[in-house]
Amino acid sequence: MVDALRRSRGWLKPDGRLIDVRPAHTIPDVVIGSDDHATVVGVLTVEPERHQRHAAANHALDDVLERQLFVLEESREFAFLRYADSAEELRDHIAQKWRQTRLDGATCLRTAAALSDRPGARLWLREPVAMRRLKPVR
Amino acid sequence: MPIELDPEERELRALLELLPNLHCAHVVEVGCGDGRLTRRYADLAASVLAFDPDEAAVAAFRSGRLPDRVELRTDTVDRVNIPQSSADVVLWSWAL
Repeated sequence: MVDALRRSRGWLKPDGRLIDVRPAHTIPDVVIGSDDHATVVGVLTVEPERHQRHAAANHALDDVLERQLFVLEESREFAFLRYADSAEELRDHIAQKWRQTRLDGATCLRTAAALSDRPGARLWLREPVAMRRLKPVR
Repeated sequence: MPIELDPEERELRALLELLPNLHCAHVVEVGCGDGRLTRRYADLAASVLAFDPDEAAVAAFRSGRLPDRVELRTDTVDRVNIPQSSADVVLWSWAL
């Protein structure tokens, strides 16, 4: 990853910027409710490989900063939301699109039950995401 | 109804906050996938060269209308041919 960051640094003009956007940490919440009343009903199950991949990315970023290939100028953190109509739809979406992560059977059942208890409630996945702007050092 | 991804556009807002001059930027996007994020900002940039090693994801991106300013490639960081010192922005899109 350090080599990849170094290579992409070469593509930048001297006054260019690198943006790194990715999950701030690896365990998103499963939430139901409305804007003013939300309840976390569970979290996704994340395999160790995903934690390791995330840690490796953080390490690579720390490394290029320590080597003064880049300086961190600014960052933002926000919640990336994915809305689903049902627990099963969310489960299937994660199974299809995500690696080393799943909505396990117990959490899926609990989510479906919570949704049926609260007619009109929405279901969403809340994933904290970090976006950083880095300036290359020449 | 399909899964709705970030309908509040918080990701785009954060990007615009960090890149106030995006409108005149030549962007290289690493890990564009099916173009979910690319489609949101491409019309706001001067140009975008987006690539991803996942052939299926790139094919999905290409199957929809490709924004005029976007050049799309199936490629990897190691192999992709991009001139040195040519980009205003390199966007690592959920790819690191």
